[in-house]
Amino acid sequence: MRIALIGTRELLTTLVLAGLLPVAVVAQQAPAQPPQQPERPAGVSTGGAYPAVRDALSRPITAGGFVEGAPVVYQDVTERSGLGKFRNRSGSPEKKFILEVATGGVALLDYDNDGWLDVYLVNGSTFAALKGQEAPPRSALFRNNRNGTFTDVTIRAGVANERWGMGATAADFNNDGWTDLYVTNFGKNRLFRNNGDGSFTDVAESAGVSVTTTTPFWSTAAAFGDYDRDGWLDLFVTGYLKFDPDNPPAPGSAVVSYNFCQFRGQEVMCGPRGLAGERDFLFRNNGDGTFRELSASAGVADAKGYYGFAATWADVDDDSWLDLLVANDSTPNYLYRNRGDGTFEDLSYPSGFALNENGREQACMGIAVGDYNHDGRLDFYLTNFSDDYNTLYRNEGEANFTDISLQVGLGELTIPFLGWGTGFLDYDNDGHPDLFVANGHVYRAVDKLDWGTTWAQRPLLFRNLNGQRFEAVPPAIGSGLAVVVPSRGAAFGDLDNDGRIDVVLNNLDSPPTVLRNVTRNANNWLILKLIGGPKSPRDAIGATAFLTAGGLRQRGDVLGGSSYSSQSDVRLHFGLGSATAVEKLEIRWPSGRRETIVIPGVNRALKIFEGQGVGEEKKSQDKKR
Amino acid sequence: MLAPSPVWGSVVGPAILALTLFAQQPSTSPDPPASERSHVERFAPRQRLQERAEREATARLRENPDDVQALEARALARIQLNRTNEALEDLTRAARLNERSAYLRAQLAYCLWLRGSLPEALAAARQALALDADNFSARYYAGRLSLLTATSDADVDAAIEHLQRAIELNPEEVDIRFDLLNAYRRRGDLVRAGVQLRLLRAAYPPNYPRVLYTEGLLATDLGQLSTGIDRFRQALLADPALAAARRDLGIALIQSERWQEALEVLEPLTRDHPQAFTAAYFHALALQNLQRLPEAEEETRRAVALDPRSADAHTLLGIILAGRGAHAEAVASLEQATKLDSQSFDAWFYLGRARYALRDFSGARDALHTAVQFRPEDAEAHFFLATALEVLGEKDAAIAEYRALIGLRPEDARGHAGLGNLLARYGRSEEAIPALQRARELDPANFEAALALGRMLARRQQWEQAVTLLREAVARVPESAEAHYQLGLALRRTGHAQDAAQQFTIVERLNRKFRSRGAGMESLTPTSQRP
Repeated sequence: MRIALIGTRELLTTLVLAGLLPVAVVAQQAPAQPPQQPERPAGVSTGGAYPAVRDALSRPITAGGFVEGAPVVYQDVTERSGLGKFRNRSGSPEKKFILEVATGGVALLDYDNDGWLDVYLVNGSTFAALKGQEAPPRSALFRNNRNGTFTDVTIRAGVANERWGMGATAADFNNDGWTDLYVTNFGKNRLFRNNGDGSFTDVAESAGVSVTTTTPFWSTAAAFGDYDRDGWLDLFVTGYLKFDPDNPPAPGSAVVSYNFCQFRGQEVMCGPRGLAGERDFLFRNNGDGTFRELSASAGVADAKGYYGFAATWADVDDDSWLDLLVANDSTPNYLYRNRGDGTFEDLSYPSGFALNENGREQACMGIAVGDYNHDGRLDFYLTNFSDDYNTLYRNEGEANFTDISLQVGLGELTIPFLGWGTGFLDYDNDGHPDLFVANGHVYRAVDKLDWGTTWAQRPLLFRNLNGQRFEAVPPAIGSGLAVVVPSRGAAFGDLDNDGRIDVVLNNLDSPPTVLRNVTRNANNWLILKLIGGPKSPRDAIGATAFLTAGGLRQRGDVLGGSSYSSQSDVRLHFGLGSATAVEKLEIRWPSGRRETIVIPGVNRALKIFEGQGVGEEKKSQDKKR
Repeated sequence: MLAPSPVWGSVVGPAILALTLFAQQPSTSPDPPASERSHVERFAPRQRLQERAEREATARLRENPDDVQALEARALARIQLNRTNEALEDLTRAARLNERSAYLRAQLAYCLWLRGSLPEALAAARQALALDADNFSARYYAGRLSLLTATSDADVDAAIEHLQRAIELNPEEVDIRFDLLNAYRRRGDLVRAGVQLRLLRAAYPPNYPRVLYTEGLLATDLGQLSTGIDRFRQALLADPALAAARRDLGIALIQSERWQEALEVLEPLTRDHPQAFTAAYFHALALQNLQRLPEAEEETRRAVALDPRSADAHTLLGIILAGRGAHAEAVASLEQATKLDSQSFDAWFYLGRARYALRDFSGARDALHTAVQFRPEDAEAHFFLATALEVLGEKDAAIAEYRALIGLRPEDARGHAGLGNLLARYGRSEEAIPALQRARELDPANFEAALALGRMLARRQQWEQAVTLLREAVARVPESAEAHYQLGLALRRTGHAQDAAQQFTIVERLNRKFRSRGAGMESLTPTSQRP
């Protein structure tokens, strides 16, 4: 006998929804409604549980979605480059503990001042190596041979960093004209001072920046920036969380509640939530090869112990003082506005940078910095966990930011991916900064579960459509955008000096990926190396350039840090589209000096010296294709 | 209301009729005349009489195994002694011995009916009619059985034809008009049903319980619940044992949302008929709506045990489980309901909502989509489907659903609010603002519209209006971190830094609660994805 549920739907609706709604709406007296956003779960999750997105062959989109016949814009040249000899190793293949999934960064630097970018790849370690039971893996420095290949010069350079490495940043901290290298570790950090002869010396301890604590300190990102405008680069280092390798956080252990070892109801490695976070460090450069730690007095010590993963210095309010941005994992991000007196004002929440537009913390990994819409202000793009979108914060001026991710087409597509290194780069030289994201998961179990995501993932490249929206560049089959790897750090720079921005990825437990930009078009370009002095840091980190060409005014900033624990080419790259001349170039030096420079031509790399103009010229290797 | 058959009367009725009919056959019993029976025997209990009749018939059959009349007599006695299977054997044998006897076939039909073999009983009745189209018993049984086993209008029409003919054959059997009336009700022909009712009123005294009960049924058919309730109560006053009236009174009270009264009516029914599924089910429904949830769950589980194939019982159980947060179990019950009745709107609808609670948004979408296909006019289903689509990022489909909701219920603020909110998130402000404003006109207390419109106006730098709306949103839902956050940002932009800071402090507190939330989380793996 069929009997309908007579006359009870409305009442049952209320009753049922009492269980379906988050606490917020249950308090409401109005007819119950389901939430517009999924109820935020506890434990390690920051997003929702989204359905799997698959391609035509039923592969998860993170390892699929390749397009036959799409234009090839990047080519994987790893093997040819020689960088394939390096292999990232971090912990065990099973990845039981959170320490094993965060390595590592990549730095692009011209350590020998020959005008060609060299590559430093950070390596991890193993628990056995920590105990001295086996030889640790080593990080590696590869010198650019100027012919598309690289040579491993690690030993000679003395930068093996046989510790559990995390990230790297590069800058001339002592203004001697040679780029130095700072490597963050689980354990003591290293400051490799460039000796100018192809070798480095670790001066971290004597400089006071090793971050030595009684128990191994987990540093992640580092960024150089002259926050006090004294001409010397200061250093900021983020701390992630407290980790005891002798008593690691495992499901069921006393160290952490089991609920922080679950994701989507499955047991996974524990953290970061549920684990105690580490503070951050600000080191002021004394100008004599040493630094002084001023984190607390400056107001950037992160007393709350948020899980710092990425950091960058950037002038967000264009007052000529470098501000500090920190992307934190599963906790609010930081935006510290530089007051100009050695202290910072915490504007994380008021600026709108702390959370996404729903008032929600995200699991942020990397930061991209750029002016995507040509309004002259720096915008920021943060990469996040899977089941959540990467977030584009548009700078509205006066240190106010708005999450516009969904509106510009950067929302849904990124949800299945777990993003790490990222950067704005004008890959097609049309004058509009595009976006690149390196991806890879942290849970090995995802390959066995039907969540629509994968351990190894392909990168994402988004083309900027006239500063209004972004669209994904289709990953052509067999191209560099179709590589499927568990990436972490990503750095961007013109490795072969052809005017097109290449990409280097550091991949977990794998060789790196070197993506050569092979975009075919007739667009013009310009590369500028800014050299500061005497009042600006020599490598001009913190300088801003405004270039006008073809009616378009672009902004470029010399950045320290950003991406994920990585360092990109400090040279400024501008795509010029069809413009054949630069109408205007304005530079705002870290010292405060402002200059307008005449540019002699396009499709070349130029050096610009503060107060002196253009230096020696280096013409393009291959300006047009 | 669907026509509930008086289940408990379905056995009693024909049994009484059969007794009457059997009593009308010429007696061939060798029993001594009453004047010669002992005093004790004359006042003996009925059972003893039947046992004696059985013995006597058995003795006759020992002498002549093919004595058809002895077989009949013994069968009748055995029926009275509740030995239906043995009676069936006798009648089957008798019918085989006398293949041309419509009467025997009719009694065979009756016996099969008693045993619950309804299709076989109907076949036997039809065989009887093939032998004698004017056999009253056969005609009557065929009518009742056709109605009981009907799966189509054609079956009901056949029942009506049989019952009409039965009345023609034996106009004094007025009770048949009750069955005919129910057949007309089943067919939706309330006019003809009303005609039967008038005839029944004329045939019976004013307070005849079955007439009162039938009046109640027709009244509820016509949507006159109060009248129906009144008639059912009168029927029960006249005959407190009339279980069907009690049951239907309970159902009518439930339909009228008079839960407590329904409970008072249904509780005795479940006590007296513990094996009756219908009583258990409606009892559970009443308990559920009285918020006596543990009892409702227990009773629903009992209903499910009584009839594991009832989709409605599984659906109700699923709803109850979801109500207490046992979403995984709720989904299991509701999925079972959809398997039992793949066309049940309620099962799909609530399954969708339970899956949503489990964060199985694609599963929710699929279930709600199915529900909408079954009932495209159901605004609630469109609303929840829109929400699931929105969470899944299928914004165009979500927009279409919100528009469908608005089309169905233009005065429902939720459709306008949902549409406006979604358009706003994707930067379609020119379309979003009118939708949100309309939502607020319809429901000034709508949180979602206030929040979305406030945020939209903030983006357009209409700060004062934005702050007003966001303050409203925060007042409505103090636990919304999003509302506090947006208000804080807007306050900051309007120079109210301290007020803004207060809002951010609240956001931090709310988020910290989620960040550090401890044990008790149900598995988040969608049921459709569990191994």
